[in-house]
Amino acid sequence: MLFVLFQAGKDRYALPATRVVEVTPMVSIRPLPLAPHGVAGVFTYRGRSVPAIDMSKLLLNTPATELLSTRIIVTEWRARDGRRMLVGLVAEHATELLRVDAPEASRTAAAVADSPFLGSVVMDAKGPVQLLLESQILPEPVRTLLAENTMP
Amino acid sequence: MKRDDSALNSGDVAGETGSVPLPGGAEAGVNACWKATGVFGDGSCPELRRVVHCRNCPVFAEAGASFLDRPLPRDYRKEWTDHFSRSREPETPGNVSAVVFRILQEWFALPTAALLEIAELRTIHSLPHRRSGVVLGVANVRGELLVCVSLVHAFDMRSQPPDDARHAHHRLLVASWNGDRFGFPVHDVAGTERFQMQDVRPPPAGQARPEQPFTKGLVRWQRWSVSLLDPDLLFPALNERLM
Repeated sequence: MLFVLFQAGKDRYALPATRVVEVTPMVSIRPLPLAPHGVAGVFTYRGRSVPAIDMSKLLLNTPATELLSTRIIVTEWRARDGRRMLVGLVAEHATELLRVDAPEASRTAAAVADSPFLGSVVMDAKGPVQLLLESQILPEPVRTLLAENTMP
Repeated sequence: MKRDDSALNSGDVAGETGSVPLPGGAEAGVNACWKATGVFGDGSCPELRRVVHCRNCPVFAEAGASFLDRPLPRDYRKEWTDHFSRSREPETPGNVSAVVFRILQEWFALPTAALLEIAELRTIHSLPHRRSGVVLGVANVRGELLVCVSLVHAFDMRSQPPDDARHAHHRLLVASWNGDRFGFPVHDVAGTERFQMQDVRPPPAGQARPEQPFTKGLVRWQRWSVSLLDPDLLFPALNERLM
């Protein structure tokens, strides 16, 4: 399984590559008033208005530093009604991929409904990488916001 | 995606002091050990015994990745915001992406579906009993032996004057079609272009070109007339010459 890696502070995280639509450089994000914690605002992606979540804010409560290595990982999710939603994840050091063989990941696996090993930690040459669960990226308040704001 | 070249344009990327000039004059403390004790220096680094070349060493990789850990250049954000906000143009069906290259004074295009890579031209070792003709010999590409073929021969261009342009542009086109792999030394590679199949025309009557049996036709590109090669016709013919 292939993952896109990024960092929040010094911690390394991984996102399944199957969720990734595109990785863009830092573009301008328009703030949304009264947005839930972690939501940086919205940006225009290929003609659509897409919400942006600041992963450093969400995971560490500090906004992401805007370096060239900070990118927006545009990801795709399913709303409860089955609609396809796009969400941009503002992520620091989004510059690498990681390939994890299923048997290796399941050694530290916690069984999760939609995937056998998401939510666990894998080790690579540089240290531990936390594989993110959908519920960690899209907590309930964010999901509600997306459902309200997503264009069909 | 466009590369950010501002560091390259402002002079030597990792200068003799080992520090990296950033736009605006600030410097990042990158220890360019590859220039001091590595393969680009005196070769005294103990890690070389393990990794053989600096490019295999994680320190080198980390230093490379750290180039991205600097602030966004001026206008960078605005440019990219404009770029990504636009809807992606749908691909028009019936077009073909091809790599445009030159052999002597003629331009050709090979569909990218047949292209594996554009490599540096390297020594082609001639095969015994085969010192002339279409087959040039074999070359080492990524550790494998690749049969190299002369398109100058295949397209009957031997009577044309030799290429005296800078050798720096010469490349080896590594191509594959239906399991047949060949290397084609070429004199220049212009890049990949998209052509509409409806723009591909047969050559004007009376001006048959020698490579015609292997092409889909001619297409206009910049001020040149480019022969769009047809891998289904070219590769089997080259295979026969190998026998």
